[in-house]
Amino acid sequence: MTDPILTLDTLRMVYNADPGILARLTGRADPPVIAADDVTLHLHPGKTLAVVGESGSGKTTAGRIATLQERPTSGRVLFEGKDVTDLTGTALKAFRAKVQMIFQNPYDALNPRLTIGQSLAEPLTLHGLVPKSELRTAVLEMLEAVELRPAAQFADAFPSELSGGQLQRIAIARALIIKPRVVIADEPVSMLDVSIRSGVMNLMRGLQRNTGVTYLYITHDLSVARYMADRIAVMYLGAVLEEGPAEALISGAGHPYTRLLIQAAPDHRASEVKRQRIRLPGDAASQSGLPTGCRFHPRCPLAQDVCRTKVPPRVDLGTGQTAACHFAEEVRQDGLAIPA
Amino acid sequence: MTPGLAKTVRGTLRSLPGALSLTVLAVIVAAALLAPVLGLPDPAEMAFDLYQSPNADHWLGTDNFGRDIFARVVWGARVALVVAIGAALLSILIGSVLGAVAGYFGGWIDGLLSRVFDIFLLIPTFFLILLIVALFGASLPLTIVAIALTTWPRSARLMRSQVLTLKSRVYVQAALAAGASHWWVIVRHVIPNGIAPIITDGTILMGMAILTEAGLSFLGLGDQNLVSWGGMIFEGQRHLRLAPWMSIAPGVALLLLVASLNLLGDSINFAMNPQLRTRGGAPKARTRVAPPANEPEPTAETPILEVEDLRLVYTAGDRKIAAVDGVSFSLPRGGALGIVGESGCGKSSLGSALLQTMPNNAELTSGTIRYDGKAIVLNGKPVAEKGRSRIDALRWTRMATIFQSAMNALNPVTTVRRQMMDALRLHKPGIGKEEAAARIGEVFDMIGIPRSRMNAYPHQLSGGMRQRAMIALSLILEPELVIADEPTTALDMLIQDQILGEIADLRERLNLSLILVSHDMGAVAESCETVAVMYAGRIVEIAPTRRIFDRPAHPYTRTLIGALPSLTGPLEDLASLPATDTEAAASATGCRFAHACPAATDLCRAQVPPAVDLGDGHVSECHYAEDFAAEAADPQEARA
Amino acid sequence: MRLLRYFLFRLLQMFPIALFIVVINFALIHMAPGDVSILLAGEGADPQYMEEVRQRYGLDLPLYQQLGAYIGQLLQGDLGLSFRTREPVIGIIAERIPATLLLAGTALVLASVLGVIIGAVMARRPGSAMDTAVTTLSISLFSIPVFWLGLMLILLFAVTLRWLPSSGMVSIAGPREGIGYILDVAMHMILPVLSLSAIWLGQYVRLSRASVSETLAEPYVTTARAIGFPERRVMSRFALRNAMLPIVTVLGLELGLLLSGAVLTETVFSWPGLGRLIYEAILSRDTPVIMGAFLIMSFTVMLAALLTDLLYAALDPRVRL
Repeated sequence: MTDPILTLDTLRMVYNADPGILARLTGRADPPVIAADDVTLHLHPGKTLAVVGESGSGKTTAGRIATLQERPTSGRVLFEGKDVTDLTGTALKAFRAKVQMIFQNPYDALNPRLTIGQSLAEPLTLHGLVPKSELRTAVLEMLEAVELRPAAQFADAFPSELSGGQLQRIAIARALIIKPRVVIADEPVSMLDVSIRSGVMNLMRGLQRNTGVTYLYITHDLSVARYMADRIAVMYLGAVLEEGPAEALISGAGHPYTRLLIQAAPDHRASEVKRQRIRLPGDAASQSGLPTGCRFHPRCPLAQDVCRTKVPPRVDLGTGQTAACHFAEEVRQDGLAIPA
Repeated sequence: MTPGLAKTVRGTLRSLPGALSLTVLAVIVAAALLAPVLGLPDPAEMAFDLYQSPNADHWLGTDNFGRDIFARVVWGARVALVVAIGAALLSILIGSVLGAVAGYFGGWIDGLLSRVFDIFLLIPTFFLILLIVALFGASLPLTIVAIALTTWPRSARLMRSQVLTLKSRVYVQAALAAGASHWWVIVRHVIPNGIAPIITDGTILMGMAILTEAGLSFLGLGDQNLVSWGGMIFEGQRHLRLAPWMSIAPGVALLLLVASLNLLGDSINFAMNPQLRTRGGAPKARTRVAPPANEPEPTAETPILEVEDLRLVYTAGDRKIAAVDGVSFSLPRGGALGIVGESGCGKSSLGSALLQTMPNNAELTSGTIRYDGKAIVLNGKPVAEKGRSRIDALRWTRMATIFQSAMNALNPVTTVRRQMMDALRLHKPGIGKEEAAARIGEVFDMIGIPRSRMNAYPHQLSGGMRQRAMIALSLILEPELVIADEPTTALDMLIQDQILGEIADLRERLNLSLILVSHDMGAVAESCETVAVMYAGRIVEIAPTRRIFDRPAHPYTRTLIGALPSLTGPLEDLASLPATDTEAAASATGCRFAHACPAATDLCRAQVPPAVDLGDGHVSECHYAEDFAAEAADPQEARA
Repeated sequence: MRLLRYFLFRLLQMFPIALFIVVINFALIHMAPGDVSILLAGEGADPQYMEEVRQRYGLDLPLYQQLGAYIGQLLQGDLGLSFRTREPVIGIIAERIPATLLLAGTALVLASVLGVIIGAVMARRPGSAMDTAVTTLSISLFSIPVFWLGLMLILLFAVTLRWLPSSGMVSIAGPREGIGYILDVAMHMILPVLSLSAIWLGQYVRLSRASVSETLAEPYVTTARAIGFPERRVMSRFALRNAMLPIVTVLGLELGLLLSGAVLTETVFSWPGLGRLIYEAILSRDTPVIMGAFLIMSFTVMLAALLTDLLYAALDPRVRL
């Protein structure tokens, strides 16, 4: 495998670590929130890594750290092998030209007071990549690339005049217009209508084929991850529970949580109407006050005594797949059938 | 000018209070500006004609020194406007800079500044100004500075909260992630988008400044060298009995100026957020009709719910939008119907029409709804019997709803148990305390909420538990029909799956009839025997669930099924629609879907498609329904 | 118990604010033009009294020690002596407080109760002609200078119609006890209460209209209607209950403004309260009284804010105690 272009190395992110004296004295301190806890991810050039998790899993935090919008409490971010965790000033600006971001909410992605053309030209102006006289041409070219035609008409429109799908295409155009090496996409289609989603996903795949850009694709939906990604990392309460090649991970998940996610995904081409369901013991956990042992054990249908006391090791399942479960091998073999 | 700004200006000018206040303001400003050239008598000139009541020479009369009151009122406008503009500008300048710094950079700066804002909020500012002016001597500049120094926290708080919101706006985040500096972001993105409410508030600030100055002058703390309305009232007060006009005129001027400033701020605010004026409200009284004669008695075969040609029209300004445009279906007792569609297709409006909980700007223009054979809506009008709407007799005891509870569907200030108790007592007034408590416990057990959470407030429950509580509330009176509107949206995957399982399970155990409204084909597939697909206000296809997945006979349904990736089977390219808007659909002359349909022909664009009955309850509104139905389910082979 | 702890926590937070107000007071008097001792003792005071004042406030000491001395005095409840009457300021103020409380309290209760009701009724028909008219009217109401409204009421009801007394709290020759006394005070109260509450009525109508219409658009109100609660109960139990939260907050925060209105009103009607006292103090340049009144007003507002907080905490289970 090639060297990774971007690496998140044992990241840890804690919010509210220091509540302040007055709050502590009166016992009103907010408990610290562990948003990320030992997260290691590698992005390989030209490939897509999907990070899958529910709200509070730390997937968004991981994305924000990867773009250095936030700095981790501990751990490193490596870009092309160099430590960029503490970049500031011009070096940071140069990094930002290489690592771009697409956000979840397309309706809020563009400044309502600027035309689409002005918004798209902004990154080019910021990095001084294109002379002023050629800005318009570059903008129109990019609009064509994201299939918004007639491009000139879109360039002069205001965001309020466009639909969600069109806005998200423009957000993608803005991220790609300065030809970054890596794009972090945080749930780029989850707020779009189903029939529009696939168009945006197909567009992103097409752009990757043409430009060789690398994606970190953050989503709550395993099936979207499968469609978009070469590799998938499953996160839960700030930690990566399982990671591996997309197909291998879905056909042979080694973590009960991954198995449950696969089972819970409604099948949109249902030929079988009824499915087997396990009533889960616990409710969604919170990031403050992590359980002891395995962080998933309160909701795990397979939890044993060892899960409650011992943090599970990261088990290598071969072919680049790892899972943080005491019973990873068994789960991969037998699924959620209870091991002895 | 951006569309938003243009809309605000238009909205302000078009509203009566907005236009009126702008006119008054214009007159006052013009008078103040032109005061020296209007040929008025010198406002300070004393004459012998004291205490003259208003007459042709002195339009507003004269005062105790024989000075012309009209001239004094016009000159007084200058002082009022100088105070207003000076104090407001200074206050906004100090306030927005400090507020922006506090909001944008956060941390200890924000902590410190927020404390200072809080302190100023608690200081009775009028007394502080009064103290300052009393100690330092009355003069206009000092008054202005004193007002600004005590009111800036108001602008600062506003700016801070604006910046805090804007800071998390995606376009600000995106600019930062694109490599923009903080100053670039503040100047280009934050200030232009955050300044509007501060300017609006500025008009209110101006009014406050004028009243404060007038109050000070009235207490004798005004600038003695200037003509101020407050000062005129201060003098007029002593001659109230003899020359009431001395106090009336300046007071009216004060009222007009301050009221137009406040009204202007209010009008701009409404023009920027039109929903502020009309949202909420009690349900309006709708014309009710008597039940039709000779309604047949229901039998076991009578559908529990029957809808015929239902139309729901929203009025927004001058526009009429048909959100539901001729919908018919029937739900057999014990059956489950899934209504699927995307945002704006009218599925939630349909839900609200079934429950008769539409907003006031919605009207049923046609259609009949029958519950168990009895009409509850006839030709768009609610049916009443013995003075009571039929729907009211069905509410919660026979027909209940599950709302999307992530959206605050439970009363936040009442415990879950209490809300269930209230519903129970409302419909069963005689029920004993113990019996009610037992019933609540029973429902909690059934839904899987631990009894220990019974006395929790909604905010103390997790999203999944809150949704369960909503389901429990809907089942408390053992209804026959449950209408669930997006019951799992915004919940996490595993919880979503659990809740759907819960609903499917309950339906079986309690023999419920169910209508499940959702945007998610997959969610509906599992819980319902029949699926109706809505597009632009119409049910474009309805069929038994298995059938609609195996042989979708409408290109839109095909897209919905083919657009979502799957976890099983081979990885294939997804079908997609061009990103167009539904307004195009509403204005179509032929098929509403034609503008986005990959298979549209000239026929589709010209003629409204008929409802094609494909047998076994499968109906599709497409010219080519039979061709589609004949094909395999594979969307890849859709006709070109 | 939790409520008590919350109360103590909020009380603790008030200390820096109180200190800040005291420091402002102290700083102002030292920054003001003229000799501090003259400001505190009054112009033309005899040298012996002047020296006494210099001693009391330690005016010969360095500034920070003066501040210390000043705070020390305040902690003993000593706000200095009025240089008009040479009586302790605290006593003079205490004497006037009941009259102000009577006036402001009555106006507050009247305006807020009426305002909330009218606002809630308007919120039922948002956007109607009636609603627009009432909104415009309420904006106009709180745009009226309160002292001018007072004068106009006097002109109409006292001067022209001669129905009501124009000034004071009691008639000169009126009864001093019993039902007659109460009626006499009530008659004198009508006009000042009317002017003060009219201004505030506008404010509360707007506040309550906005707040109730917002809650009426909440999904839990739709739930209540779907359950079948009659509209009266939807309004009282769901809409008003939730709308009270922002209303209570604003009520508490704007007490300071209400008090400033009271000062102006008392001036117009010669109502023997704090406001009248401040007016008299301004006329005779009685600085210690003005400063004392400012301090007392500030502390009153702080106390009101504290009580509002508690009320809010009691009304809203979402407040973390």
